[in-house]
Amino acid sequence: MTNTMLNHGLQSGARVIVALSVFGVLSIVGCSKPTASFSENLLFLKYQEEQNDGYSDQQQQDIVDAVAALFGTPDEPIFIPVEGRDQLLQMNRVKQAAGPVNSDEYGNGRGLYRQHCVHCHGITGNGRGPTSAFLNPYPRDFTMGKFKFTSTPVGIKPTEADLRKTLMNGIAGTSMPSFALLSEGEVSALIDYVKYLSVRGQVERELMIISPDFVDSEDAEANEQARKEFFSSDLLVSDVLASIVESWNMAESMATPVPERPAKFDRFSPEFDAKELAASVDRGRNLYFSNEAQCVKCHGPAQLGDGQTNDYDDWTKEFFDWKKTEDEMYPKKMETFLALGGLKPRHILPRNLRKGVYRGGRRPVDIFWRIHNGIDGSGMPESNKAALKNDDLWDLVNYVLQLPYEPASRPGVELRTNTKEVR
Amino acid sequence: MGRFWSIVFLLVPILGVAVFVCAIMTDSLYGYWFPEDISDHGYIIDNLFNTIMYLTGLIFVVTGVMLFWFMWKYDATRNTEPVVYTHGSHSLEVVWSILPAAVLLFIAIYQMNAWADAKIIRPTEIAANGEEVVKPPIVQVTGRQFEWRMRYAGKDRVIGTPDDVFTVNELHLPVGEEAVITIKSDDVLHSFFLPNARVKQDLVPGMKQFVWFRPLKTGEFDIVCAELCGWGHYKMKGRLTVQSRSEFDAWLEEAEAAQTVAAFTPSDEDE
Repeated sequence: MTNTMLNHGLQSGARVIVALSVFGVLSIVGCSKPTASFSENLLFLKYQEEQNDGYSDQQQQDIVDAVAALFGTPDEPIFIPVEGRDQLLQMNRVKQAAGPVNSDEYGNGRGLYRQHCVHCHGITGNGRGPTSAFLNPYPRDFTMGKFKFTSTPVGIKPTEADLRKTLMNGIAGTSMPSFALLSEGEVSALIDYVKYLSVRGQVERELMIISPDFVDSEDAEANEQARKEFFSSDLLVSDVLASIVESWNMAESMATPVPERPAKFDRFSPEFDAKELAASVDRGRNLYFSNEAQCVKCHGPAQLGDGQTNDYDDWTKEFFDWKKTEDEMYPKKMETFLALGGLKPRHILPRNLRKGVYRGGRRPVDIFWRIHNGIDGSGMPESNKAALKNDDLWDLVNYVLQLPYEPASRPGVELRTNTKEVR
Repeated sequence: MGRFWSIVFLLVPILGVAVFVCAIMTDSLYGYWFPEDISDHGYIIDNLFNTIMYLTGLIFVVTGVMLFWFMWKYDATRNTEPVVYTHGSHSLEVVWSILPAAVLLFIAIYQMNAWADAKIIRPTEIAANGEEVVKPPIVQVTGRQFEWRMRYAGKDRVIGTPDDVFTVNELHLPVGEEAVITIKSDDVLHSFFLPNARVKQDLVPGMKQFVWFRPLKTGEFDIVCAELCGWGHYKMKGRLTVQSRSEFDAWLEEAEAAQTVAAFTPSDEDE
């Protein structure tokens, strides 16, 4: 009897000790977080590697070092003062958005990117944060420097106002929420940080493309010399970084001007004319099916976005494209692609125009830009400028804006309301 | 250990009551008690809450003290007498069956009007033809991971027509008027919660529901999601702005104008 009790006592004593030591270990391990660091663009590296002869470890390290020297770390971002930097972004804003979540002595938020963006867009801004795999569409990868909803033509960077609009309104129909309740300064800080991440990602890619040149020579010493010269010279800064910065700064003046839509189409204007609008919508419908506009090809004969359903966006197509054979694809195997952090390719679907959800904004000017400029990276082309004049585009805009109100677009009936059975 | 545990258990009602008293006493300093009530029906909800809280609070204290008393009195180290088993007390059982039943019945009747006014009887208005009709909703609020999308009915007072006005996270309402709001969810369960208006309603995907209240104070207040809806639940916030009718109309017109921007001229300052 006493023996068993003693055993019990010992056992529970041992349990307490085990529990305490587990708690102790956890409290030490759990509290020391690893320092945040940018991850290498391994996917693009692999892509380049399979196309070229491959990288030596030295080269790979050089690229990492060069990018780190130019941009610092997520906690200590730097942006060396190249020409046009101050026009592109303000360093104090970038620093406000960077680093761990915190607030300064005046209560201003710091580490905003990690508070609001990182779980989807990732610490490197490659669109592969922890929650990214669960979202459809996937979050944007900033490192390619391509943005969808811009006022600028395809191939041109977004303007500051474009990025601000996306942050303020969110992107309806995707998982991107609105950040309208953040202060203006905080939104500005996030915009500058997105620019910083995007430029960093582009520079990294550019270096991966340029770098293989040094392995051509047979002479190892000459290679080493060339390598050192390249990474220590201003060439890197002036050629690579400055030209990317320039391409961003250029965008500000490249926003497509939009001629005023006639007031007779504006429902809220006193000059509104319902008949004129109906006529314009009819013209828009004809254009939708016409050879000049060819909207029907992708958005489908019933405007449900089912015209074509087997294409991919540019972010996917770079590595994975159904039009390429396996030999033409880099990396060659899907397993390699997924192992390197790539997200399972998904088809890009044209927008269902009957839902009344406008990802790039619902203002007439937004829809005009979408049709006139196309949507970068998505496969939506710019309009045929020779065949379609501005008036035609406004007809198309009016048609698109009216589609959700057609009887065919009416959604299914909701379940009974909470008042119906009483009244 | 002896009576140690009975003391520990006595601390439960003492600390529980202390926390509650501190929260009420320091409300003006820290605001740990109810947020400011801006609605005309809020006091009914608050009274209901307080009544139930005092009832359950009383039972909490009584059971806590009894637990302590039994543990103290019948502590094994101090009681050498053998255990006595009894069949129980018939009259005691009758009392503790009928008393809670009566209390529950009282709560059920006491809250009936509060529930009906908040959830069933929609506000009415007099239509142009003199008939009394249910008031149409002024705005439709759609919860979405992780934001609130508003769709104002616009001038025709019908939601789902081309003159609707759209905003995100910004809900404006005119003061002193009964506001009827349609609420829906785009994806998962959310809960539309206006703490200052004492309004809370779960959003169910595929279900259209209504909430209504009359704001009596102007100012800016919180809209929060009160149902765990995903990783971003904590930041699913909106802003309720209660303003005078004229200010509200002006704001709505501004939102209309912002939504119908149909021209863009690049400014020269970037050159």
